[in-house]
Amino acid sequence: MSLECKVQVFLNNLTPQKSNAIRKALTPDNINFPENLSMEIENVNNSLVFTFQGKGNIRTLISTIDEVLEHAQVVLRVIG
Amino acid sequence: MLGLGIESTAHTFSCAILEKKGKKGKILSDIRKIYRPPDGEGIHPREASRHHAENSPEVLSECLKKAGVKMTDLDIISYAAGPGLGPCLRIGAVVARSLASYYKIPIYPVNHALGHIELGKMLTGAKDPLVLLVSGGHTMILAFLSKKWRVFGETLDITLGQLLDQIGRSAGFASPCGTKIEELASKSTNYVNLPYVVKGNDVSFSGLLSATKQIIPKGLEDACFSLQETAFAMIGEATERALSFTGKKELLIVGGVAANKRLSEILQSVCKRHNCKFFVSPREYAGDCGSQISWTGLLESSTKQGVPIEETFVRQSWRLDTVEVMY
Repeated sequence: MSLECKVQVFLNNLTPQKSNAIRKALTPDNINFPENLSMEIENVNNSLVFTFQGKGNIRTLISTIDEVLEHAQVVLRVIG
Repeated sequence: MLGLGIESTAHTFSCAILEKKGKKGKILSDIRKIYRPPDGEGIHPREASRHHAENSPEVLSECLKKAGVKMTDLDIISYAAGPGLGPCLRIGAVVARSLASYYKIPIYPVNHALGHIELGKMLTGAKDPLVLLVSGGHTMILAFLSKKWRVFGETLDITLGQLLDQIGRSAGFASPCGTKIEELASKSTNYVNLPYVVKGNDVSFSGLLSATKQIIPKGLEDACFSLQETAFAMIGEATERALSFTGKKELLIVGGVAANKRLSEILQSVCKRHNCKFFVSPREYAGDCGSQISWTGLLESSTKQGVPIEETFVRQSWRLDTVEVMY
C-alpha cells in the first residue's frame, strides 16, 4: 500500500504585497508536477496557504516542501 | 539606464548593477559569493542552492550599497535562466521574480553563455569576433551570423573546465581547480604523451581525463603540464581552423578557463599567424558574475519588453545557438 499525504503550511501575517510577491516568485517553478505530486497556493485572510499532496515516494514530497519553503523565505528576506 | 543582473547557474551567486549609456556600459558593482565543496568533491546542486539561498539577501544588499542605488532606481532586472543546475537556477529566478513583482520592475531571462560573450565584447571592445567560450559548463567555438551565435566546434563530451576540475579533484583539491592546475603545470616542462582527440572541428576530453588520472601517481606537476599542453593544443587546432574558415579578424576568449595564461599564449600565437586581433576577458570577469547577466539584459531591453513574470522559467538545458539576438 502506498502512502498518501496532504500537508498544509500557513505563512501568517503577510501584507497583500508580500503574499503576491511570494506567489508570483514561486509559481513558474512549480508547474508540470509529476502525476503523484501537487501543490496549490492560496490567500486566506492574512495568510498564504500552501497545500502539498503526495502519493508514493514520501521523500519527493519532503524535498518539494523543503525547497518551496526555502524559496518563500528567500523572497521575504530580499524584499525586506 | 540601470540594470540589476543575478547569476546563479552553478557555484557562484552574484548580483551586479550596470549602467548603460548609449552603447557603453559601466559596472557600478559586482558582488559574488562562491560555493566551495569539500576538497576532492564536486558541486552538489542542492548544497550549492542552499548556499545561494542563504547568501542571496546579503549579496543583493551589498551590491546595491556599493553601486549607491536603491531598488526603486533600477530600470530592469535580469537573471540567468539557463543553462545550469536546476536548484541553483531557481534561487536566482526566485530572487529576480520577487524583486520584479514587489517593485514592479521589468524582468528579463538571460542565457548565461550569451552573457559571457556580451560582457567580454563590452569589456574588450571586440566588434565581430570568433569566440572561444571555455568554462565548467561550455566548450564552444562560435561566430555570429544572421541573428544567432553559430557553433563552429564544441566538445563531444566533458567541457574543458570539467576536465581541469576532475583532474584537480582526483588530486584532492576543491573545485574549481583551474588556478591550482595552472600553478602546478608552470613548475614542469616534462611532457608525457597523452591522447589528443580532435574529430572534425570538435574535441573530446574524456580519454584525456582517464589517461591523465593514470599518470598523476608518477608526478602531479608533469601530469598537469602535459594535460594543459594537450588540451590547449586541441583547442588551439580547432580554433585556428575556425578562424581560417570564417575569416574573422578578431578572436575573443571568454569563460572561467579564459583566465588561464598558457591558453592565452597558445591562442595568441594562432592569432599572429592569421593576422588577427586577440582579446581575452579580464581575469576578474572571465568567470561567472552578475555583470554578464546585467549587461545582456540591458542590451535585450533596447529591443524588447520585459517578460511576464508567469513566463519567467528556468531552463537547465538551453543551447546558445537557439537564442535569437535582436539588438
